[in-house]
Amino acid sequence: MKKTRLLLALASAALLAAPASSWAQYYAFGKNKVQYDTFHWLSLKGEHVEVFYYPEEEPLARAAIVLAEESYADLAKKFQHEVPRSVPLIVFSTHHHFEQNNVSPFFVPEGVQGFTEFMKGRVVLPYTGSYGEFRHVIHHEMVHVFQFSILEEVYKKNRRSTYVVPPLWFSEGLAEYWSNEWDAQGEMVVADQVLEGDVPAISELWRYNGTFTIYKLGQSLCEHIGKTYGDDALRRLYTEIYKDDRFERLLQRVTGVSAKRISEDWQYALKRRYFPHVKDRTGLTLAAEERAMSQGVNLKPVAVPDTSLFGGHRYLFVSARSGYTNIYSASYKGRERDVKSIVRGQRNAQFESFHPFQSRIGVSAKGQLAFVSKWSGKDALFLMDLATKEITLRRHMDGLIALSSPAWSPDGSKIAFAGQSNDGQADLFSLDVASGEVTRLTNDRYTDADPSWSPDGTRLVFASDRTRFGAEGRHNLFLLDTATLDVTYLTYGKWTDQTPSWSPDGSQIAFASDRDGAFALYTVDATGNGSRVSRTLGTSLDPSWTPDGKSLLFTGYRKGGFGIYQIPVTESRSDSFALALDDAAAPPQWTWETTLARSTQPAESYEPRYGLDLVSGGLSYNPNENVGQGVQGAVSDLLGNRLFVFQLGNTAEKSSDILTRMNAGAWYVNRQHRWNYGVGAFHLAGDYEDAIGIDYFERRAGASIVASYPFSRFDRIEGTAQAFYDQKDRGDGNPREGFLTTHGVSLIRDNALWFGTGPRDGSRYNLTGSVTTNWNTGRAENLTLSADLRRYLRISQWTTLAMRVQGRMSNGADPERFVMGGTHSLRGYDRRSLFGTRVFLANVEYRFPLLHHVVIGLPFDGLELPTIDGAVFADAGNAWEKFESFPTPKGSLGFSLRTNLGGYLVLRYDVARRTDFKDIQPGWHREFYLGFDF
Amino acid sequence: MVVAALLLAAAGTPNVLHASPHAAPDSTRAPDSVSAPDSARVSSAALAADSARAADSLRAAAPRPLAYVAVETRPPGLRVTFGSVEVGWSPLPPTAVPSGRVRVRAYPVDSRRFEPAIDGLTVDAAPGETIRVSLDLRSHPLLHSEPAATLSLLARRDDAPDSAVGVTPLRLAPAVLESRRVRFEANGFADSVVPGAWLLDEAARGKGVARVALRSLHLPPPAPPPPPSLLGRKWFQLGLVGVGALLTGGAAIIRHQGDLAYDRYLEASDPRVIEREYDRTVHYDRLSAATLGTGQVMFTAGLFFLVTGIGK
Repeated sequence: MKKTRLLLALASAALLAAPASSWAQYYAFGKNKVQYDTFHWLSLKGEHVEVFYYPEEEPLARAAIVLAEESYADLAKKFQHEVPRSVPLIVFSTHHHFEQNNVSPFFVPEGVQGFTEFMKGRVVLPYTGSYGEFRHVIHHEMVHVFQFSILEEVYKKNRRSTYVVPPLWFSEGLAEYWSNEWDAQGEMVVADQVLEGDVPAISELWRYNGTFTIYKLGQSLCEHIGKTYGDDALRRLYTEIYKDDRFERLLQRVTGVSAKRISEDWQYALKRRYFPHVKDRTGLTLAAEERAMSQGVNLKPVAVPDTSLFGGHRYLFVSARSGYTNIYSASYKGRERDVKSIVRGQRNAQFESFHPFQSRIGVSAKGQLAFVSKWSGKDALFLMDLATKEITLRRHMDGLIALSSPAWSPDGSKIAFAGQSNDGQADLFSLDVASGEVTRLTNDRYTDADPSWSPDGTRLVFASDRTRFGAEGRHNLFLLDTATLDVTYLTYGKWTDQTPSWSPDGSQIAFASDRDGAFALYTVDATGNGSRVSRTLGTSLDPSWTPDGKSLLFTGYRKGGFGIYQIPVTESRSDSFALALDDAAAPPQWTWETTLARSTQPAESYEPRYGLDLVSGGLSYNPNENVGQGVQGAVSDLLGNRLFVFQLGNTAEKSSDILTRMNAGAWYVNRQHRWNYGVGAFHLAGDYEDAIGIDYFERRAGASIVASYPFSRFDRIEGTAQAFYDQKDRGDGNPREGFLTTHGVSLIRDNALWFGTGPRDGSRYNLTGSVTTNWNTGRAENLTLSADLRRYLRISQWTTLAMRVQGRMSNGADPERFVMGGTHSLRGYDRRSLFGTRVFLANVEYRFPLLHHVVIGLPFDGLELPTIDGAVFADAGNAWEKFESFPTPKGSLGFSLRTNLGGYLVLRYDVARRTDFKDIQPGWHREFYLGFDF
Repeated sequence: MVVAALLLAAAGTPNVLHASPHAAPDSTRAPDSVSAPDSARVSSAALAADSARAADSLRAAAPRPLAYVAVETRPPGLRVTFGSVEVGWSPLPPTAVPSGRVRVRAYPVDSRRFEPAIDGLTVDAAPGETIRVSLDLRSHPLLHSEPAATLSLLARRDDAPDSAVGVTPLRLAPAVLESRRVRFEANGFADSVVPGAWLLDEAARGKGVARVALRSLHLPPPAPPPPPSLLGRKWFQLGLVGVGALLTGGAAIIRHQGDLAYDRYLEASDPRVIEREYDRTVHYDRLSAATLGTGQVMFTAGLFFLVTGIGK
């Protein structure tokens, strides 16, 4: 987003040269995609894949090229296709580094493990600490590479007026199907859908686009098609895509069966598979009691050991129930009982992310909360005194980028945690709280996660892929002797055991395991003998003991959401097991070195290779509705660090003006460092209309510099400087000609939480100052100051009180004039009907949902209406000139309807009545508008 | 598939596997030089009962040419399998197997204890070829140092670079250590170079843990960082911003004086006044431009130094 803004700033720099507009006119908000680290890139060239990496992560790069070439060989057979170019694979050693990539202009959510970009076919992915997952993601993205390549080839050979794009369920489902076995995540999502009666037909799958569910539903459906009609049918759905206008008809052409019939067969097969579960398992809500359930994402519960704290019997958990991810406390004596926010995340730099799906939280016997949060580009360990809510420790760990799952030792003197270093290696560490000394507990390329202390403090139990089945992505539990650092197996098998938690009396270790398909809760003693806690439907994760050791708090997945549940741990058990190391049936012990030894490619330094990002015509480049014809485009290097933007156009009306009315500009933008900057030169000329409707001609030629420095994801400073020769003629016999400079500085903050039609929580501001100087006269052409402050007060889950205050002023020989009126400023007044060199504006509106998920039955057979939000508002503001005294404010009151169109556009309808703050004037003023809420 | 191939070949040539799978380890010492085994020394007795039954059912299949695989393990005396067929205890002399891909496994003594050693290899054996498989399943000693130190394997030759392998505590394979020297490095402590064999001995005595205490250099505390240059000093940066802002404001005042002089010039009728006020206007304009330019440069530079920290 930051890059997007920089481009906007550059564009506005061009415009600003133009004509009576100033940089201050371009209000920019948005969060920052921060390049905390500067990477020095190298590459390894394979036969089909070229891996780009930085020196610290060379082992990962070597593993990546081996795995990617393996994937290529496998997929070349499955697709019967060769990709006609080398596949660029950009590898980051951690997700934190991956989030800094410049290939995509967008923020990468934590759940995204990699992506394949269409324009240049680049695959970008991080190493998240697990070899098995790394292999899976590489294979998944390589499927996308083949998909794009085949589509490109097929459409090139068979040109059509319109192209069918395979639906997401198919492209992602096939990538999952051909890269991974059916796993517990799929079981979690699909079994829940089946048992809740929510499995959609193929024609309805689009409703799940943008969610993880679509991956697993798609995988299930692709597997069904592959096993029923042959895997080659899946390939032919790509090679024959040009033959039909709709994907569902293509499905029928390839399989010989209608999509409706395939849907029914698939749904029936799923029912046959999952309905028998109901017979011998208890429903989650029957076996366990509901605790925190609101809004579908409640994770990682941990009971407070001191049952007297906070009124007693409380637990902490991480939840995104408000839209932001916070740490909450609640009483486990009831459902949704006494829920309080303890640490508010995603609003400021130090609590940027709690990694709710990766990291547990820990509470000491003395009431100290330990958690990790992303702060300034990497994770830090935070300690908070729960009684005083004071942060007592905030610490980055030397050499560690990602941290997770801090666990207090029983005596409260140490904290064990998992950490991932710059080279991607994920190990266990221990922090001595008093001395601050950090001790490394494991040191190898196996993944170690989720440590939990034995009550006597001599051992840790943790999950690791060092098991013989680890190369396939499986994890088992291990015990670590903290004195000798010896590691021994606790569980063993071709499945995943994770998130162990040692009981307060030390007799049992609770953990989640997918040995029976979906994740369920088990306990095991320190010798490896264990059993299942309860045979329940659905998925159970993250068990944590209550202080009395008689029950477990855990995360349960049901009806598409994660909730906190509590289940008693009784003596009557099922599915007992004992630790049996059946070596003969297991694969040999694996190591990274086996894979690394297969990469012998020499490292080469990265030389930027440029490719076209976009070219478009009909350039529109002036906010005052002046439009110039022309083209604009952008060229960037493979890593997206260096970008060239150009534009070319002409506003000449006769041949003699071609040169003088040439509009051309070129800018270079560097995004490799935390400082993003751009430099460029431009020549712009044309006829314009200013804010008060006066026509004029202006021509500018010069150079500009734009720079942006993010302090964090939420705050940044931006600056611009321009020097240009300027000719301006208003036709009043007083033309201006001279050498001008413009400087501008903006301070911007934005931590707003967005819903479909606009922000609903948080705040943002933009403080901007700019000065334009005429060096021929020494005169300040204009000095412009502006402030725009917005605050969103959450009244309830779905309702918000939004407030905005704006003030702007411009002085000088040629001051900027601001306009006001219309839906984006002062509602009830015509657009641009108020103007002056000074303006102020205040808006207050109450936003609420009006129609959500409304489905009309007859006669539309289940037509779902778009979501419609409502608002009631009051505005006040006015504009005036320097020589005028402060005017009486103009005001309006009204209501508004808003709906999101396709995710990218908001249609608004405002109805307002004017007021002079004494009376409400007659007559309604209505306006349609396309744009997000302020 | 590997198992099936093995059984298929075993069916055709029953006397291919070693005769003493359950013999005491010491009695199966591998020969120093590998040669094709004497067929008189092998019998079908080694076949497990289930594999024999399977072999019977496949007896009609054509035999495949033989290859030979010898297995050594460290420590010796480990159970060895080819595919799923147990063939004896290590060290295993060259043993005939059907040529092709063979999975060789040796089983660790205490399988509960995690060791990162590879305990199996898949080999491709060409007909008539003898392959020697060596598996090192010795416990990886844990190298501890006080304080934690960077650990490097010293190169065997002077012209080759040393290899940094990690930070202690660290487990390293005995095979890596036994013939190399290791250097421990930590800030404020003398580098310690010790033979890997000594570390292995220490580990054997210390239940798998070898501890090295580094000698402190008793160095004086590190010198404080040099003071920032003038450009990096906050007062200077703030001064630049402040003076820049003052000069910019001053330029406006001077400019205003120029405007007043210009107004007097326009209103004047006395030629001397006209000339004087015109000169004043030009003077003020130039002074204003210079003041403004200087002010803006100082303001921008100050802000730049403040934000970037350049100069520190």
